[in-house]
This record gives sequence, structure tokens and C-alpha cells, in this order.
Amino acid sequence: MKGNGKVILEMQGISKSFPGVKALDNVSLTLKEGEIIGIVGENGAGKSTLVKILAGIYRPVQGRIFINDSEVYLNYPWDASKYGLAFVHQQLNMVPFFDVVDNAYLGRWITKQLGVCDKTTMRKRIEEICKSFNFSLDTTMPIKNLSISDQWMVQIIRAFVKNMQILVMDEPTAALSDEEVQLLFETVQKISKQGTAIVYVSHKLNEIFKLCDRIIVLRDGKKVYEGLKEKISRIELIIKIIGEERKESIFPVSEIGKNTITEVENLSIPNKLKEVTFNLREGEILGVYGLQGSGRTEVAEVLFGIRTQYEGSMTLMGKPFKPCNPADAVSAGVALVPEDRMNQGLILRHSILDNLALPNLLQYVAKFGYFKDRKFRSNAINIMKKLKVNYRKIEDSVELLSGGNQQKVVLSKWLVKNFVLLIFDEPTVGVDVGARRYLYYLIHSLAIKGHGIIVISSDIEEMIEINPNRVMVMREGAISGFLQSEQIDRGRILKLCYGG
Amino acid sequence: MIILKLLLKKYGTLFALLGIIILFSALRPTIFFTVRNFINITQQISILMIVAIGATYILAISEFDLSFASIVSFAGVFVAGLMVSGIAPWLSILLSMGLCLGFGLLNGILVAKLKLPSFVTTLATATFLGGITFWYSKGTIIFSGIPDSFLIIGQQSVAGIPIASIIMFALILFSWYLLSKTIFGRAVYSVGGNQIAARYSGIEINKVKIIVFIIAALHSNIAGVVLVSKLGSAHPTAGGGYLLQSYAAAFLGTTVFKEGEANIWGTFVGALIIGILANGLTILNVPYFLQDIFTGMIIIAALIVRMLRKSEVT
Repeated sequence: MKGNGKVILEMQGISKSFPGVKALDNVSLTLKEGEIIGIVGENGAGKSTLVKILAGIYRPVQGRIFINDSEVYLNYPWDASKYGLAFVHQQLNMVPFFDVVDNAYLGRWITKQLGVCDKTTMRKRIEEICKSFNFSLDTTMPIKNLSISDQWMVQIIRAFVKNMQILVMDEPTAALSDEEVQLLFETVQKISKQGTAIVYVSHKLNEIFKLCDRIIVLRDGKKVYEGLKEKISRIELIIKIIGEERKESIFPVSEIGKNTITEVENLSIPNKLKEVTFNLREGEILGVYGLQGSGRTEVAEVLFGIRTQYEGSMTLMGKPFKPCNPADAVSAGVALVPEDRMNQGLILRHSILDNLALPNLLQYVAKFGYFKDRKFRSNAINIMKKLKVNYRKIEDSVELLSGGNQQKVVLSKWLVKNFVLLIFDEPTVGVDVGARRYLYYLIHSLAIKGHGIIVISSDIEEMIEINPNRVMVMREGAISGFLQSEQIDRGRILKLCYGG
Repeated sequence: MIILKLLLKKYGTLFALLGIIILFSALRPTIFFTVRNFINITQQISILMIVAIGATYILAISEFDLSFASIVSFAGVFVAGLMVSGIAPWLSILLSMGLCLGFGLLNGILVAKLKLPSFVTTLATATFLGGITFWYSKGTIIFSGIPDSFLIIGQQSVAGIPIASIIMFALILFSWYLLSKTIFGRAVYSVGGNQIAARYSGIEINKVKIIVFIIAALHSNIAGVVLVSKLGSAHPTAGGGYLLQSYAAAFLGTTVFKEGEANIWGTFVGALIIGILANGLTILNVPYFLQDIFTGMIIIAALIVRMLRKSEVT
């Protein structure tokens, strides 16, 4: 029945502009019953705009939308819900102290008389959905006590609460573990067999090829490709996404220098880390792979002075190193690009310039604490040019940028100054294919200049693609092994990661 | 039409200020619209503005400090008491500055290091300080024995400009430089914007918060000193009205110049609006309660303008 069902959704000639950008330019698409289409494109290509138009958050400047052959106007989020559209958005929208049930039903609570919430019915429904997902969850837990990946599962479950005929998912797997992604895919395939049409937006091409029937590529707001997934190879698809003129560059091979950047000895934190010992030399890229809770993030937190209660010792450039807070680490030359960029990396309502300036204040200070605005500005603009950040004015607030460009800004702020040791925690979560390739290239060119680099990731593809000098695999707080660059492959990493 | 809308959004608060001035000028041209009255207004708002500078810092780090009024009262009573017992004015002022610095430090440590919620914490420390003030003054007004040399600060002028106004402008310039030109100012705004991101960028957020609470306390202290000098007497609840008015001025200020952020010149515009309303309405013989009603309405209007601007972004 796939692809042969009747057309459920049709978008005709949709255009949308924002001040200074044409976000969508005459994009059309059709979606049939039970079909899964994948939408791919770089950050700022217009994917999220398209989703938000369907959700009734943005209104198109031009174009028409038909659902079940009749024209509809999606002016408000409740319009979308009326026509049976359900969404999993890119950002987590949760009330932290509400429990799972209240969050899943947020704003659509089932009530008894006098507006009293019918918790029992709602809880039963959520538990049913969890069961169909094969996913166990304590539904009485306040959402803030759940891990990020469980919160995401709730976000996804939320879409399933009401009956829907179209499910739109915008990067739903960024924070999920491999098993959870598997559970999600099985469920999505199940509901698509029952007739629900699915729009799946993602940067992860593996997922697109695995899940979708048809692929649509957006670039600069235009539809540049549409076709069945069997008709296109991975490499062809990447070129469609980034454009012919920007084919992939080959990474320079990083050579390890003589001097040691950092030595970590017997690092232990009760229940978190067990005698972690490793060193990093100049020019070396060290990959750190592990599941959530394996201790990968804690190592970074100790090096960056976020965690100060630990046993063991560290050195930086041959000297003992014991940062009491991130400020110590930054002034000693350690940079951390954090995992949760929205909350830990950026001040959204502040300007790009202000955000970029933060870690570099002490380098641009003159008499009486004066901040050398002009000098910094030209350096900042240079870095952003190199990273191809798409922005209008450096005074614009960061929240006006698209998700991927925001992430580039986070990276840029650590590249203005020369840091000795750069730690990247999940550097490409939510970053598009083109920018990802560029980031890897950048990591390598930083290594060539002699910086020490630690890349933490739970994405095996990423580990392989970065091609670090060594991968350190962690399990339950301890190092379960090192792999040299020529030994790095999926099987070996997983074996170390799960043991046996 | 669109341009007008944009202008209104961006400069709405400034237009409001201008509108008030034009209105009062039209109604009482000979009394209101005179150089003398404007100089007078700067003196009238000087104490409010000095407290509001402190409020600007506190709003910039997205915290609250409800102890301003208590500090103003305490500083006044303490300085007056010391002088009455024969201590030189300059030394009395210095001693009160020292105590208020300590008090700001206490607020800062409670909020930054112990992570207590600033609203309730400073409400508690304010109550505590209020009690100390009553105990120290025994609940009475101090007026006899304050040396004339001290009264110069609040009552005399230099080259036609009241000394209180000069102090205010000096503090405005200092804080404008500190907040908008220095790395400290950037650190302050970053703490208000997103503390975690600020911390991860190497900003010592606790230090910044503590310094901000100290700066705010010192400004209230100076305001208290100027107030006693202006009145020639010290009352243990003299600072009462300045807490809400200073926040009103600083909130009004977030709608001009630096969009959505507390900033010194914005606060000055806010203080001017409040001050000119009071001045003009008094000239018109409008009852005092109406002045409060107008001030309340203006603040709500300013907040609506701010909200409109926010919804523009999304």
C-alpha cells in the first residue's frame, strides 16, 4: 500500500520570508497515506520553517495547503491539531515540575466534571502508549527528574496521545540512545502501516535511509531534489544537500608532537569514575566514546573545573592542574564546547557579538576594564567567516539565527583565542552534514597547529568519521580500552563499550 | 504607518517622557517649563535615581534586592547618629559605607554562594536591618545636632547646579561606563542572560553577583546620606518609598536604548518620567493618590510595549 494510498497532505508553492532571508521559496510536496518522507538539508535550508508552517506557528506568505483534498488554513497550533496533524518539535517543551502524564497531555488534559483532571484515564493511555513502544517509564515522576533522553521519549509520546493522520517529526533522535531510536523506528513503522503519513526531518542520513520511503532535499529554501530512497546513494545525497560547489574536503592527517598537553592520573569520583588515567600530547585528537552514564561527561567536567570533588591528579603543559571553577580552566587555556548548547553555551537573547566575547574578555581588556570592542569585533567576524556562519548583523540577538548557526556561534566563541586544550562534548548533535564535515576539518586543522583535542561522542559514525589518533572507550566510569586509529571500527568500539 | 509603529516600539517610552513634558508645559508654561524647574527636577529625582542605579545592576543579573529601602533608612539614621555624637561628617559617611558594604556582601553571599532565592532572602535581611535601625534610633527622628557642614550635600548648589544632582550625574556616568564599556559590565549582563552559559564561558558568576549586591547596597547608602542632608533630619523609615519606585524606574528603563535589558540611561529616563509626573502634578495641585495611579498606569503601559516587542521576534 506504500505510496499507492490516497493523498492526505498537499502543499503547493509555499513561500515564507523573514527579515533579510527567504526561508522557503516556492516549495511543494505531497504526502500519501502510510508514506514516510524524509526531509533533509543544511541548517537554515528551511526544514524547520516548513514544519512550523504545518504546525500553524508560522503563516506562509504564499502557497496553499490541502488536507484530504480540501484547502485548509493553518493559522494557529490548534488548527493543525484539528486536522489530525501531530508534531514532535526540535526543542523540548516541558513544564519541569509536572509529571510525565501532565506533560504528555499539556494543555489537552482530559477532564471530569467541573474541570477536574482525569488523571487515571490519562495515565492509562500513556501507559498503553509506553507499552506499545516497549518503553518503561515511571509516569508519576516529575519530568525534571528524568534523563534528557527519557524527556525526549515523553515529547514523542505526546504526539501519540491523540489520534492523528499525519505525524511530523523534527530531529526527534538527537538526544536518544541507539536502543531508543530503534524502539521509536519500530513504532513509527507500525503506525505508518496502519495508514498514518509521516514527515521525518533529520540530519542523520542513516536514519533517513533506514526509515523513509521518499527523500526531499531543501537547500537555501528551495526544493532541489525529490525521489525514492532507492534512487540515490549516500554520497549523491550529501552533494545534493551541500551543493556541487562544496564537495567534501579530505581531512589532513594529524601528527602527534612530543610535548604532553595534559596528563590525567587515577581520576576517581564515587559512583561516577574509577581510576581514569590517560594523557594527551600536542596535535593529538583523542576520541572518548561511551554510553550515557559511562563517565565520559564527568571526565570533561573535571578538566573544565565544573566538578571539583574528585581524587587523582592532573597536569596541564607539565604543571599541576587543579581548576576550582570554569574560570580557572579558561584562563589556563582549556575550552569546553558543552553538549547542551542552548542552555550551557549561549545567551539566546543577547547579541552574537556579546556571546562571542564572553570567554575572551580578559584578552581584550584595556585600562579601567575597558573592553576593546572594535578590535574584538573584527577578529570575531573573521572567525565567523571561516565557519560560514549565516547572519545579518553581529548585533542581532542569537535567537534570530537558525539552530545550526547558533551552534556555529558556540564553536566560534572558543576559536577567537588559542586554547591549549579543546574539549568537544557531542560536537555535532543537531548540526547539518555540511557543517559537520567542516567541523571535523576544523578539529583536524586545530590539531595540526598543536592543540590537544578531546572529542566526546556517543555516535559511532562520528567517531569513525573524525578519525582520531586514539579512541578511549568508557564503561561504567572506567576506561574499558583504547583503540589506535587503524583499529577503529564499529564492532571493536561496541565490544569495548558493552564488554564481553 | 509601519514606520510610526516601529518608532513607537523603539522609542515609545521616550515619546511618553516628551509627551508628559509637553503636556505640563502647555498647562503651566510659566512655572513648569523653566530652566529653574528642570534643575529642580534633577534634584528631586536624585535620591530616587541613585537607588535606581543599584536596582539597574540587580535587574541586569536577573535577581531581586528588596533591601534598598532599609539601607537608605539605616544609612541616614546611622550617619546622623554618629555626627550627633560628635564624629566628623566625612568619617561618619565612611563608616556607614563600610557597614553597607558588609551588608551588600552578606546579601551577595547568601544569594550567590548559598544559592538562596534573592527575593525572599533580601526581604529577610531588609527586615533584619530595619529592626537594627529602630533599635539604633530608638524609633525617634534625629534632627538636632546635625552639623551645618553636612547639610551642604543636600541643600547647596555649585554654579547653580545642586550638589545632589552632581552626585547623581557622577554616579550615572560611572555606572554607564562600568556596565556598557567594561568587561565587568559584560560579565554582569551574561549572568543575567544565562548563568550556566556564563559560567561555562569562564565567568566567575558568584563573584559577579556578590559585587553587584555590594554596588547596589553602596548606592542605597549614598542615597540615604543625601536624603538626610537634604531633609536635615533622619527618620528610621525615611527610605520606605524608594524601593518600588527605583524598580519602577529601572523597569521603565528596560524599554529604551538597550532593548529588554536594564541599562543606566534607560533607568534615568524612567526616573525622569516618575519625577516629572510628580513635579508637574504637584504644580497642578493634583492630589497625591492620583500621582500613584498615573505612575502605576505608566509602568503597565511600558511593560505592554516591551511585551509587544518580544512577540515581534518570534
